[in-house]
Amino acid sequence: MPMNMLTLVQTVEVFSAYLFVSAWLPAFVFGKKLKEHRLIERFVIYFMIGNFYIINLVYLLQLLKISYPVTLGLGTFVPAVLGRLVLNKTPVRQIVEDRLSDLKKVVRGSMGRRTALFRIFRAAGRQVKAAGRFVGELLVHHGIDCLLLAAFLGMLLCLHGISLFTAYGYKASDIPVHNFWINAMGENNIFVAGVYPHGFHCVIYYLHALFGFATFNVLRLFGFVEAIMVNVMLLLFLKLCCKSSYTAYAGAFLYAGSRYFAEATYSRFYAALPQEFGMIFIFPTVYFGFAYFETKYRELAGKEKPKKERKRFRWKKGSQSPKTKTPHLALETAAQVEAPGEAEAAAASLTEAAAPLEAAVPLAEVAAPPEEITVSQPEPAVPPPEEAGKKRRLLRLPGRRNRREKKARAKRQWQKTYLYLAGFAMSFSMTLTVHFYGTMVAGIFCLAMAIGYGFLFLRKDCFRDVVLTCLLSVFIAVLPMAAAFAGGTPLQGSLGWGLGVIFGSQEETAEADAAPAAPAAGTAPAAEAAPVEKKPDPPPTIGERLEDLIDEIEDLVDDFRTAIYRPLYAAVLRLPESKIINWVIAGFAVLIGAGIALFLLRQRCYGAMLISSGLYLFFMGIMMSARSFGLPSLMDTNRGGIYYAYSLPLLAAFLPDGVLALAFLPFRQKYWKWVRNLFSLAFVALVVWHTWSIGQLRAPRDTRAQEMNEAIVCMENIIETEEDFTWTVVSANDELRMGTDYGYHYETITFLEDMEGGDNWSRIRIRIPTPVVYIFVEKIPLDYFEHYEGSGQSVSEEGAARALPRNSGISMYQGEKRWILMSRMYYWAQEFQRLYPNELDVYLETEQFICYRIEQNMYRLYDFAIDYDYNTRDYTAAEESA
Amino acid sequence: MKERMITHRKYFSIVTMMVVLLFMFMFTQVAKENISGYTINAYAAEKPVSGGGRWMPRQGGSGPGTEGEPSVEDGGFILLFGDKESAVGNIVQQWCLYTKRELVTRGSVAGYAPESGKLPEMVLVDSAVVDYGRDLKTLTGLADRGIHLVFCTLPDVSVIRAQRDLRKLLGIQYVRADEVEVEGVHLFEDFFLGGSYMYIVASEEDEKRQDLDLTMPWYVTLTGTKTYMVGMLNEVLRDEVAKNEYFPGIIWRNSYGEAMVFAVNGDYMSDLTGIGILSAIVYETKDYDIYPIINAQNLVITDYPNFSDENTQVIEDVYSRTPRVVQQDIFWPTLLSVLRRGGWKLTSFITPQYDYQDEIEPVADNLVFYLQQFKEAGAEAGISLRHGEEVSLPEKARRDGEFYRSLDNDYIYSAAYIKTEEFSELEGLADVEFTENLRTITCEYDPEDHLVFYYSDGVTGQGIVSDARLQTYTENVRLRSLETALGYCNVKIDMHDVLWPESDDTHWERVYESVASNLDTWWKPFGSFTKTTLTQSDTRLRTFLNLDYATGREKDRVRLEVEGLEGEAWFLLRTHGEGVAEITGAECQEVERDAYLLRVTEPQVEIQLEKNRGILKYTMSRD
Repeated sequence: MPMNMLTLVQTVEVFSAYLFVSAWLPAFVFGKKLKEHRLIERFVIYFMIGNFYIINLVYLLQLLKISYPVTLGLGTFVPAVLGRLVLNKTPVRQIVEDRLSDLKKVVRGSMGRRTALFRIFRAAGRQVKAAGRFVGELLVHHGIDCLLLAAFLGMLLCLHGISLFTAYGYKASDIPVHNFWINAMGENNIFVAGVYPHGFHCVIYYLHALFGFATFNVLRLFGFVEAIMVNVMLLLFLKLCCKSSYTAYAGAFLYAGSRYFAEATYSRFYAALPQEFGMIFIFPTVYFGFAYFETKYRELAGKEKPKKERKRFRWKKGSQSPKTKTPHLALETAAQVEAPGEAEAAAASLTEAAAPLEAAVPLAEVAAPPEEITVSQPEPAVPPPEEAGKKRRLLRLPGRRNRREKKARAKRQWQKTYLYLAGFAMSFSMTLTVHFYGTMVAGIFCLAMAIGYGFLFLRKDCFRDVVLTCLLSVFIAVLPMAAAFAGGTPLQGSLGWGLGVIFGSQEETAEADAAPAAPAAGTAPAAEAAPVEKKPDPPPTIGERLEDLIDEIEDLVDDFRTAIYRPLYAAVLRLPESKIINWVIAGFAVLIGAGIALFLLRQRCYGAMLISSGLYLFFMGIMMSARSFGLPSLMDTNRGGIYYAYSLPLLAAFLPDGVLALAFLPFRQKYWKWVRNLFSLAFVALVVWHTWSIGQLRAPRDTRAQEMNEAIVCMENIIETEEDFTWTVVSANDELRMGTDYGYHYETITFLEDMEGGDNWSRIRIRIPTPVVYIFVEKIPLDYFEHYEGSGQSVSEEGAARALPRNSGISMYQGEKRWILMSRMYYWAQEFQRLYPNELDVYLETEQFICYRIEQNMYRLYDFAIDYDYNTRDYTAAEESA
Repeated sequence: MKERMITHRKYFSIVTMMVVLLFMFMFTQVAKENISGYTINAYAAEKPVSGGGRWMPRQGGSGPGTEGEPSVEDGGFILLFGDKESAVGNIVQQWCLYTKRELVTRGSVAGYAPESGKLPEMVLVDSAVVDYGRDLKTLTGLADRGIHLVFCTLPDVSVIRAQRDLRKLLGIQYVRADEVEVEGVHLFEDFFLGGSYMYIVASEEDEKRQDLDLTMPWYVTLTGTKTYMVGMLNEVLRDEVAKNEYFPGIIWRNSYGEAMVFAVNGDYMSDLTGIGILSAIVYETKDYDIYPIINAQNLVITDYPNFSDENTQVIEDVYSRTPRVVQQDIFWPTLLSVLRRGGWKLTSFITPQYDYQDEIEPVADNLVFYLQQFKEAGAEAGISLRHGEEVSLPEKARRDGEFYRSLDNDYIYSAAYIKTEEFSELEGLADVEFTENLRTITCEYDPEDHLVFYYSDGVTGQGIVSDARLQTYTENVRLRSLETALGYCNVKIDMHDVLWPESDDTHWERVYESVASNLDTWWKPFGSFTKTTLTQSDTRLRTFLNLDYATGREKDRVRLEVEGLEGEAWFLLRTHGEGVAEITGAECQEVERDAYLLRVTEPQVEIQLEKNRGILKYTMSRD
């Protein structure tokens, strides 16, 4: 089977397995409970529940040291089945009895087999029919959405999928380390290298343990899964938040498919890394925050109305018929009738009427504050005074029913509120469980939200709920780590590094250094950033003072803008003209302005959402250049740039959406909504067309793995064909952790150093106690994160004649050092082949790579420490001169 | 009351059934006697190939001590530094004959200077004729030129200890002890056919088997060597050396430049084991090897059946039956079960009587029974020429001839058994009419003679190499060696001792037990080779001795050309991690890992090889 085909099959398997446990199983359990929610919202909820459960299940079992495929399987499927039965109040006994009765009938012959089969097929047919109907309705009612979504997914597949087939190996240098940590989990040894957020590792381990995928395969393919999910989650978030139907696609497209962003902001998506996995949970956190405030707002509105109602009745008792009050009365009566959150009822009716995806009525619209909806209600006739007593009587009876309904609605409202809080808690917890950078970003958004939704957040109960939820989510995330820490496991090194970055004691990462050399953040706008020298002036007049104040404010704004401009230019955006960055920054302000305007126009929650988003974008800018503001730098520029780039689609989607919302605010008829959607669709088309016309469409990235494809092919074959723990691979570092669960590894440098001779050469013995030994040699050594003058050269005697490099760690395999090692290895193999011509077999050979296979007698192991000439030379002089 | 009577219809049915049953049983018996053709020896039906066309070395080799240059013009011969008449010389000669290699023998290394174009394929060294102080340079020079060396015997340990260059040539790092007593011997797989085996004493039974030489010098081999057989240390020494790699080597290989130097620490090259060792060594030096084999697994039973009631008293004491009854009712059924279980084809050397002076004459009645049984079991009847001192071989042959003729059947007795020490008496049979149909004679292997050979153009000789009653470790090593080199074995069950028992060990129940277990155990790995009667084996042997062959390889294609092919010939193909993908001109059967049995039916054979180990299941996508 060609490797590409295998990769395709494995990708489909891994993706399917992940979606199965992270989305399908929660849907299986909670499907009925959440059926009133929009499809995309449900998907987000399921996905959060699924991931949260997986991660914490693995944590629990690992800490209890009982994490095995069986326990994981039991922990997954038993609660799922029980949960479904309990939540759906399934009459298990009745069903079992019915099925047994049917079985008895079949066994006794009172029901024919054909009849039984017919019933089974009929039931299955009903399911298929329902599914078909669902898909049909989806296509009919949300055809454009489906089309755009398909196009978006297709684009993602092209952009991120191709690299799976061009480069099989790991595409980041730290994946072997993660591989090591995950391998250790196989022995119930979580936090093997110290306490570190293991959410990502839990998921990979879970897929490996439960479904039997080789860890290294999941790691080399999961980057693709991550990239898809990160982008899909962005799109879903935007879809859920925008009022118009399609502006979300513009934002998601610009982020995923354009070249307006620096390569460093998306290059890491080609590798499976915790940070990128953690990004999946940032916007769900934000969404659940928005949704919570929205629901809370409605809940509060519903609670406040009875007071008004009481007022009304008091007023009605005290006054016979003040005509001036009538409109208010009418309005309040309407409010009373539609009472406890008409928006919720509207949302429910929309959800029920429309098919799930549309449910396409966006959150903002569904969540329109009560005032907006009640305005459009027809004014009820004011009952004549003589009918007032009758009216009261009439109202009383239905009032009981209303109270019951109110209670039920209030309960649903309460459940919804806490569902969103729970969602918030889970997703926020996962940002921390997976990678604390994501938590920082989510935290910044929460800060912006606290300001934007200040009118709600500062309410006592709301404040209490939110703060407690935040604390709870942090507690959940930290608990396993704290437990391990309390048990004596030290912190993992990179946590210290992260803290170092925050407090400025660490330099930025090598990746940051490797980022495209941006002109100093303010190089382009140097003039703008230049300090303004002020000459001493005579005592100013009031006018002059005012002028100075304005100047100072202008300077302050200018400094602020420059501070934000700098990281955007250096690490985030690659726009055709740098001045557009200024427009982007201005866009933040416009977004806030639009939010304020909408807020004032009684679009409270939607306005607050825009304000929060605008503030968040500013805050991100501030965080990126925190040092300029005298604040601690939370993360290095390059890492921050990744998150900032991921946040900018909010501007691209919310700004036009906000403008459209403002523009169409007065028009409430349904067809105006269509017009608004048409505009949003046109906007998407315009964005795509413009991006294409100026050649800014992103092409699939020519991603290079830090390991040759041949090496991965060999590893796949070895693991597949050799019996476990009967083989050893002698190679550079990447395979070190790949085969831990199946065989052994001997690092090239150790192997060569062990037989480095001198006078004692004849006493050296290297024996590898496995029946088969594989030797990987790169005939044209790859550039492992380091390019050097002779990059691309073949192994040679010249390389072999150089002294072995004396570096440590991974640098041993970088640049010229790798060439020396591979040259040595190649000539070792040549000599070994001379000694054992029939025993050393070429397993796989291409122009740039060769893998040898050596079978040996376990009763008489070969001595691999042979004299291949280069290892017995004296390199002292060369080393001294070096 | 009227009694119930059987109806006519039922009566008729019962009678019919009885008649049918009677007919069926009688018919089969009658048919067996008349149609089976037990009076014909089917194995001797075809006229044998004459030994006149046997393969002979072109130059025939030089005699011992001959200093003349080899006359082989195109190289590729085997050069033996040693005495042709020595035990090693005999083995080397045999191996060269069987593998169709020219052999040049030099009694001394001194003065030998190989010329380009006349380089030997391999040089075999018997250390007895080498003065290492003087000759080491010559040997090293040969190795430097890429000529493989085989040290059939090693010099004294003091010589090895003293000469560093010799140690380097042999791949010995140092001499750990002049002599060490090992616990057993471990033969590793992929050298001989039959896999790996540890010849140690693990049970009481093994003590009888252990006859290997367990005392040897202890050489620790160098890096770059490969070992095929080692001595196994006892627990104390094992703890001392800690690693298997330091166990004393018995057969190993050292890579010296482009040449390979093989060393045999012990006297394994002095007997038939050497033939297999040399074949295995050649296989190790090449990426594949293909050579002719006999492919015959013979089981012979001597002096059975015996048609006279000799030694009656003793036999009756032991078995409570007369000798003839014991042989027919006890020996034969149990023998038959052994034959069937192992798929053996028996060659039974019958003898009318052993004692020609006791006036007890043989009774021919049972011969028909045996011939019928042999026919059914696929066995063959031969004649035993073993005789006591009281009668000469011609006399015995004459009297036996009368016995056989008295039966008046046409059975051709083409195989005969004779004791090795009586072999020289065969010449006296020239005038005996009865022996004119003989085409193969078997006897215990004589170390001074060849294992298989032409006695004359019309008669072949086949040596017996094993006794089915006891397989010692030495015999087993030899068996593996012969199976590797020739695909041949000739196992004997001697019934003379059973019919003339001298101790409890020769009672049939004990003999049977050991024969059955030995045949089931030791010959099991060689089940791919054909079980033959001695005449069948003779046919194959003649083809084997007559043919010549040449072979070559181009990439993955191996070509084999066979001269003198009569009917079919058998070859063994040994590879290193390759299997047969396609073959023309022959049929192929896997014997074991990397060993294939070829039944060659055409003079030209083409074999397409393919890797059978280390195969990629997932390929690079551009493939």
